[in-house]
Amino acid sequence: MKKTIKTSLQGSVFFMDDDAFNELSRYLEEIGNRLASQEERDEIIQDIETRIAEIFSDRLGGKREVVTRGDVTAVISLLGRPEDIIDAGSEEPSSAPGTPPAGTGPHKRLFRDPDNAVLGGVCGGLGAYFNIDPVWFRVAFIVLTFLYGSSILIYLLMWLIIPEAKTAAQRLEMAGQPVNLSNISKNISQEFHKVKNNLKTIPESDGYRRSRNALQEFVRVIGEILLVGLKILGILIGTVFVLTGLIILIALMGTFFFHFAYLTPHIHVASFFNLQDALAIFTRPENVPYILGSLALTVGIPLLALIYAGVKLIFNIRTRNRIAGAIVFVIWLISVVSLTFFIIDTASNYSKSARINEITPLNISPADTLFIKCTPDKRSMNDFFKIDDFHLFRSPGNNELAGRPYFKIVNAGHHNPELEIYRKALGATRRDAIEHAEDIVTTWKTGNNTLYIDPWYTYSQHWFGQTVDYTLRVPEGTVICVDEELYLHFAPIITDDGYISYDIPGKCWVMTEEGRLERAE
Amino acid sequence: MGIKIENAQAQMRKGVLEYCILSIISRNSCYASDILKELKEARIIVVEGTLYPILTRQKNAGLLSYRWEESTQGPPRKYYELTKTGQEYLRELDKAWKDLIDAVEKIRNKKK
Repeated sequence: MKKTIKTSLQGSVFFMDDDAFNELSRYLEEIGNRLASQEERDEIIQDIETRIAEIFSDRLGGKREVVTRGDVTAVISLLGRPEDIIDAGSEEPSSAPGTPPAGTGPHKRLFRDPDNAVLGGVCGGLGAYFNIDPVWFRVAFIVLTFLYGSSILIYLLMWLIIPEAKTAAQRLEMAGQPVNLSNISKNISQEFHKVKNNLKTIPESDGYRRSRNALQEFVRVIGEILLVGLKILGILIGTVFVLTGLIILIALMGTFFFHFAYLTPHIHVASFFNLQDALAIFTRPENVPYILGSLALTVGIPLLALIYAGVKLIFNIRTRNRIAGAIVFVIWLISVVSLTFFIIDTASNYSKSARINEITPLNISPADTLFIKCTPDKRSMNDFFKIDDFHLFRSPGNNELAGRPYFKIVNAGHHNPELEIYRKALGATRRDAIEHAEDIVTTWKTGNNTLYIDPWYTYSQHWFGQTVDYTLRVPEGTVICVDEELYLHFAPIITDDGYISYDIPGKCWVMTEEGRLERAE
Repeated sequence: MGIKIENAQAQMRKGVLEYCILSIISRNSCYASDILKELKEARIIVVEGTLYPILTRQKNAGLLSYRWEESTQGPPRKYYELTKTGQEYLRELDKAWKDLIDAVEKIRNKKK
């Protein structure tokens, strides 16, 4: 028992057995593939189908019902094999001398061109693929090196991914037909044509098998439609992969080797910080190259893999190099592990904290008015680093880091006026933390009933969570006039009851019994 | 060497086939199978399939036109005929053919 398929050939209906049908569709498809222009192809195939219908009718002669494989073989020997038909009859009028023969078919593949190579033949291959002078690709690659050298990486990547055209067939495929819109649409319409033809065939068989065959046929046709959709989707997804990968890669190259960009909306960095500087401030300086390296690999490998996958999707490259993949994966794992190690190591530098305080009596009589002013601020700390509330400033000479101290005004009770300075820092051990706190430089002086405070505290080139709190203790009833300038330089001034005020600078205040400041007239 | 002779024959036939097809159509409008029959009788064509691309291209080049005619057996048929351009083109080919034969004969018959 054999399955038969009801087929229509230009209006004549035939029942064909499975083998015959498959062979005939292959034959027609192959002829179609050899014809370059869509118009010609449809018409020639129609004419040939008409002729095939005639031959079938003759051969069946009313005695047989079903077209068999023998009939198809007879048709092919009468009409000729596809290569006989198209090669013999087609001196394509439009093809200028020197253009590749149409017989190479519509499938063009991307290869590296060893005959037209400066380095790896990537640009030569791209030129052949897009039918553009390779010089343009070379110029583009060279110009794009200014984007932090990203094009060098991309070139190396493409050198790796794209296979070299080694055989004559591959060179022909590389030359192929130009990939332009009309040819792409031709390829796609060819696929649709195939699907449409399949839709035209109505499956037919005896008895209970019928529905099953219909279902199989339906599934096959749906499958082919999906295949065309998938190819288009593959190109789209590939493009998104490549673009995303490139954009992030270029941004990261900028971050790694040049100045910081905005990483997130919460991180603002002024012009002079770059990643090395930032790492040198937060980690052991001798580790910085290793951290940079493992960071680059941890982030870069997945990005390059994304671009790799994208290029493969777009150009339909089917190479698989398991060993290289495994090696890259192991490198990535090592870099992740070492990055983790560095993070833990860095964090251990901040595990203990210490606080040093220092109390200085102020030589101010309680009856007098105390003025608080800033020492003239000659330093401009343009260089800064800010994550949410965390600020880090750097002096122009890069030899010290700086921060803004907190300033607190509280009731001294029965004591004389005094200034207490807390210096706080972190360290790997308590001893380290104390050392780091002692390193903090604060400057202030008194004279003429005035307390002059430096609006900055400074410390060495490494960050250990250094902070400084000034606490001014004055007896009840003391009048304090705070210079307006403090508003610009200090964090809000805090009073005893935890009251935080931005209003205190620029006005005079009286210390109350509860430790609050009240407006003095 | 056999392969080369076949190639040469195929090359010769290819050039002449177009001319033969136009000549057949110039006598009477006809459809593909009529043309095939004559070409086969004359043994100028080896496989039938070769005819169709040539017809389509000649039609697209404006040498041929066709009309549909109902047929008693099977689907309607395409009947080809020469256009005005086609007739002029054929006249040129006639002349070229004559020149070619003269040239070949002259060379072949020349005594040493």
